[in-house]
Amino acid sequence: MNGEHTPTRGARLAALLGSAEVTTVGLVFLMILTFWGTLYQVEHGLYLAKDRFFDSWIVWIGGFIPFPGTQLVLAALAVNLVVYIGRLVAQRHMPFGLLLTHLGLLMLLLGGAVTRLFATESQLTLQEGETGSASASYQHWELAVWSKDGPLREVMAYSADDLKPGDVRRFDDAGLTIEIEDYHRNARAFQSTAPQTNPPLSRLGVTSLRPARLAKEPGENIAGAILTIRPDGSDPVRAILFGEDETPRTFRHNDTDWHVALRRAREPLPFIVRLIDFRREMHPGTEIARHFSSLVAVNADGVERNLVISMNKPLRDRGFTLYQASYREDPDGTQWSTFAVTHNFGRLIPYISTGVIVAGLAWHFVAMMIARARRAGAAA
Amino acid sequence: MNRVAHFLFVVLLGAAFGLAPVAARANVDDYDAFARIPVQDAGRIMPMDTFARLRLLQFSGRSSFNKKPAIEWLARLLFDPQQSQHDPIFLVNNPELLEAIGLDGLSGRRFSYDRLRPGLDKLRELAAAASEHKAEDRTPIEKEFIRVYQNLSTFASLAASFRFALPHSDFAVTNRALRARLGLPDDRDAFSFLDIYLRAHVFAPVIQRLSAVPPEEWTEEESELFALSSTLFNWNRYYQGLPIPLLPVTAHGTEQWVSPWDKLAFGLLDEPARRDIARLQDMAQAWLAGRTVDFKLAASDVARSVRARAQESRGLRYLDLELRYNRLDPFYRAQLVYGIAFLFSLLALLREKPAWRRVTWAGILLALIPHTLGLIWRMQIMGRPPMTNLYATFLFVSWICVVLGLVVEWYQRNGLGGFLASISGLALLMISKRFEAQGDTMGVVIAVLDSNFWLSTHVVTITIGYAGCIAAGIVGHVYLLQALRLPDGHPKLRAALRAIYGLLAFGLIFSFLGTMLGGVWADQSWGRFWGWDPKENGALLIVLWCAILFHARWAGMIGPTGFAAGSVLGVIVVLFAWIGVNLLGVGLHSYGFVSGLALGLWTAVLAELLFVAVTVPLIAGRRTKREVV
Repeated sequence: MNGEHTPTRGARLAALLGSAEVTTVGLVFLMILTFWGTLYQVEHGLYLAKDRFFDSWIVWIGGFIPFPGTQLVLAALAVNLVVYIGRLVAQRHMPFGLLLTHLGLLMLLLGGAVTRLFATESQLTLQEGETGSASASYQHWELAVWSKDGPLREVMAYSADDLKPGDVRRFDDAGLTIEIEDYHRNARAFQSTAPQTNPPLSRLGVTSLRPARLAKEPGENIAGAILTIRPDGSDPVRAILFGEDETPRTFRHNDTDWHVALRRAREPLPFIVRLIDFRREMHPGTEIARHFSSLVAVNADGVERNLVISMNKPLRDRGFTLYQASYREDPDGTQWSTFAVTHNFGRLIPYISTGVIVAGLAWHFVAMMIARARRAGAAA
Repeated sequence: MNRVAHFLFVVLLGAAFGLAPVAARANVDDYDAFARIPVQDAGRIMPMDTFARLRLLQFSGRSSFNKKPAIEWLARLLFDPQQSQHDPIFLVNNPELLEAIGLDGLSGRRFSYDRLRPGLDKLRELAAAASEHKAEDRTPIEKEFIRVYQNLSTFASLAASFRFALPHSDFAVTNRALRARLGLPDDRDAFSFLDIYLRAHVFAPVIQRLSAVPPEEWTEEESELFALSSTLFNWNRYYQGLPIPLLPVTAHGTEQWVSPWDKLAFGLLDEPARRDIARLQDMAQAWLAGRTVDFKLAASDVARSVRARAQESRGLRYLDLELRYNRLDPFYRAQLVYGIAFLFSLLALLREKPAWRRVTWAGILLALIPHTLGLIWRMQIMGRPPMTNLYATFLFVSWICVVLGLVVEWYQRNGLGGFLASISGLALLMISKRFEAQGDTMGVVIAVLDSNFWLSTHVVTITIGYAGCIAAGIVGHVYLLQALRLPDGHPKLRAALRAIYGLLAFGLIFSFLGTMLGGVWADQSWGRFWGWDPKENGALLIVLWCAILFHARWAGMIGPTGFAAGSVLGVIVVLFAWIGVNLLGVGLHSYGFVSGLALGLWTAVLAELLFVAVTVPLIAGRRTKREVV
């Protein structure tokens, strides 16, 4: 490290990649993105802001000027961190506090990546007395095919999120192919007064679909598709599937009734949940909720147990977590309770990394204070 | 010199402690019992005193009227509504409102009910139209229509809330025989609704019998009795849904507080309730007649009886404490003393005499007593950590900044910490006053915040982080100002830089920890650690800004001046996270909206930008000149 021999190109590159300059620039970009994305939420809502700024690799300004997206900046910072940590470890006197802090940060970033890649979020809404065994995604849609309606049914499904006109999806077990004619992530359905085709395109009488602007809340988007179902060896069926239509499209093929639906992506739960009772409490004399909770029966492996899910007290079982998210009440007193359902095996990573980072920061700053006090003592 | 400083200090302190409560102390004894009556409002039990302050703050933006405490104003409003109609208490922020309701001849900012009454119908129409729009789409003037109209109607219902106890011509009994029959006193003929109501059982059989007799055959006494009974019926139907809920009713194990009018409308008065309402009437009439002793006695009877019957609750347990808190106004006193200490700290910074520094130190410690006491009392009364709304966070951030200033002073002993402590105590408490009028500062919290564990970990930590960064920013100002005249490397500059460094590191650790604890809380409550919610982003911005400053400094990208300027700009980042985000009106955290706040925020942001834009080039200019010379 003292100019006796010129550093190799690799060492120079490592020095640059792991430098505080790169860190500073990366953090500045991250700060700009965070600020911008926050302001963007005012007009466009959280999900669109996430889509454009926080989950993206590149943010296109005005449609053609590229700006690094949060994912790209975080990836660059992660490289910066790895190189920096490598260089710290290679040093003889390594500042332990800094090492710990940056290791923790790296872990936090990796934990974020794990969550982004593998975690799922969905929701389950139950009326009092109702039972549910699968939760529905807020934002993702699927094209699903199944034959037997019953407690145990095998569903074949393709994600519908990036369907395009002209796409073909093959369902081997059902022996049929579906061709997409038109697909909209958020659609408006229209009925025409003209006589219906036979069989009708849609059970609801929908005759055409038009695209609508994506809503602020992805839960408000309703997907719609026009498609042709081609069962092997029989006549094709043309259909309009509109997300608001809850009953599937049914037809007969190979002596079996087949059902096709465009629906919010389902995530099967490893247990069955029954809502027994929903309760809420108001602050006296106001309409501000003080507390709300749901009494549920959870049936896993045939054994049923009762428990209460409330704000700040979720149900955790088999890697799934159910949180009390919201509720709905009809004037006649019928109550629905909505649970947010998450499945994330990386959920403890941020907890651990936070501890590591804070310990590292405290170590570093305390060590510096002690060193300074020593220097002051030595100087006196 | 030393002695003069101490003398001045003692005199000023005496003034601060002596004068502050004078306004509040006037007639305190006469109204003490009345102020203690428990009331249910904003979802909790509070003393009548707080109820009075809240209403007066809501109407006028002030907590006293004509230099008299709010409780006196409320008593007049309840017991002598005719007179209170002339009190100029309604704050109108936007003169356009007066124009719109055809009262553009009026001048001033606060008006009496009487003055505004001619425009009331028009205002009702405008407010109704404005209410059609969604809250976030309303223009400022529409919000003002709704606000002023709501205030006027609240005032009108408060004015009617004790009408049952006040003599009224509707209940005049001129027939002496009838008075005797009803057991009414013979020395007057105007009675109150309650007087007649409580005697309904006497004349009910008579009325029943009269229904079978044609009116021509009724005696004069019977006619009057019939008229009386129909008035009673009409009043009972008309006066419902009025404030003030001060009578606890327990049914099926749950407790509800109802107003005397509603209690009367239910019709079923048990003996204790009958006694309470009768005592409320005694109280009102004693006040009207100026019989102070009777007024106090009746009020304390009511307070005692209600407290004995109500279910045990936090509000009831700490009623007296809350009253003391209201009376003492600890934050106002602390603010005054901080103000004095601030003047001394300026002297200490400029003159470098240890005497000034010691006086400043003592002043800050003195101010810290009511400041700390106020925070502890608030926690006791609410049973929560002291930061459930913006107002409370200001009190707390101010406290942390003061303590941080004392720590800096303890280490450096050069007046810098004293300056930091006193100015942040003074300024932040002054700003907090602006937030007081937004409602009950000790009010209930929404369900998601209803967790003392997370309130006291996440919210406290992040708020300490805000405080650290703000304190660093304040010292940053001092550094930049000093750098304008002192040469590079001057010991004062080095000391200030060390303080900034330490405070910013403190701010970084706590902001980071607070942000992550927020993630943990979110993970516990909503199932996700990080969701890019505006308030989360705000906290992240603080962490990022601190981290940028440290890394840029280590990389040599900025020098000491840049670091200090960065800490000043950090104040903007904190203000955005702390207040700005709430103004965006989106996300889970936007619970603390205050209108008019945006202007103050923008002013602060521009002022800080201007400060940096002026000082930094000047400092850089001096340096180049020195280098050239």
